[in-house]
Amino acid sequence: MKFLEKYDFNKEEIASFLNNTPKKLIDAIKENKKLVGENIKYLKNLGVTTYRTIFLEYYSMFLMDHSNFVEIFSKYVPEDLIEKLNKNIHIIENL
Amino acid sequence: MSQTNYKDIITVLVPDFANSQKGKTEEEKVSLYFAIFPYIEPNCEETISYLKSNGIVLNKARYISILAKPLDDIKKSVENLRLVDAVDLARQYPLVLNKLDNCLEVKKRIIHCISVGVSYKDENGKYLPFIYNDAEWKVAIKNFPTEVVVRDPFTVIESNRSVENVVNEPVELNTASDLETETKDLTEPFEPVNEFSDLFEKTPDVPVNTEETLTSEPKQDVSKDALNDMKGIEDLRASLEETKKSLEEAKNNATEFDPNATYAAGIANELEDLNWNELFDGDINFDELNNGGRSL
Repeated sequence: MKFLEKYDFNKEEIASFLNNTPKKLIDAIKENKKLVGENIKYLKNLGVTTYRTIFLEYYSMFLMDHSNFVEIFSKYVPEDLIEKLNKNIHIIENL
Repeated sequence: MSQTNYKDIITVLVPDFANSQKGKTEEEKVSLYFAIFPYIEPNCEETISYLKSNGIVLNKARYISILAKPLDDIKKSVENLRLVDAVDLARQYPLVLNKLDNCLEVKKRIIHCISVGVSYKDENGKYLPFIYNDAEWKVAIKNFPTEVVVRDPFTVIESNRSVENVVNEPVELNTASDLETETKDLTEPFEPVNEFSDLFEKTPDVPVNTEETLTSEPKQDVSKDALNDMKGIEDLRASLEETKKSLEEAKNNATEFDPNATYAAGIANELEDLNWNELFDGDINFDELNNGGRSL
């Protein structure tokens, strides 16, 4: 899971992620680290400062195909979306 | 697993999904988690029914990730929670079952909270997040009081060791109810059961620290050798009076049960009952007094 350090995850966050995720999904994320990394990077570059918490809570979403992932967020006005996601990450479920 | 099977899983789950008034329903949210469906365990329907039998309902789309965990591991998690009477934590927050250590850490946290007397539930009976959230736990334990580790019902060890060390130590208690029992034993007043207490009637308030008086004074003053040194009846009377007085004094100062003290009280009562005329007619057996007194 070292690849997460590239996206500014600290060791504690990575340890917490590893301890709170079924092994099969950890393996899936390792196998698809390029895809997962792309999706994390998209959120980070969009200006969502809570992207690390979003990943730790909704890691399953990050296995989604990149184009489908982008499509979810691109339907909204970026500034409005960023503000809301930075305030409450759980609105991601309603996008 | 085929796409058809995914639909079957959703069909099984949909009746449990909570309906949202705003935004998407849980059923609609499932599309966010399609990517993990290939990693779901093949016997997930069995998992769903096992969870339901324990009152744990996967009523949100994001709980689908639990189905990627083998049923045996989920059972271990539930059993670990059951040991600390905390299955309702999984009902409140099913994602706790995803923990790779099968909720062992959660179990330790609950036991730790009980041992230091910190509440881990709010006023509505809901578990506080630090029980299942690693980051919040690290913050919370900094404010915990110094722990009191209960080793056995009669020994309380107070320690200033760091709470983290305690959490990482093996926990001897198996269940919350075990802990409760041990704590209860500790708080109950100690009622001495001792054969000495049965020897004397009505001697609840017995003296302490009379051992010295008991072992030295009567033996010295009322022994045969001492008697031989006495010059008259008055000397013997004075000596016995003195012994009696010191025993009475000790008896009045008593605060705790002491088998030796109980014995001393018996001697005091015995001396009170002595018939002085009988004593000096030669009926008293001084060997008995020297060897701890007559049988009472």
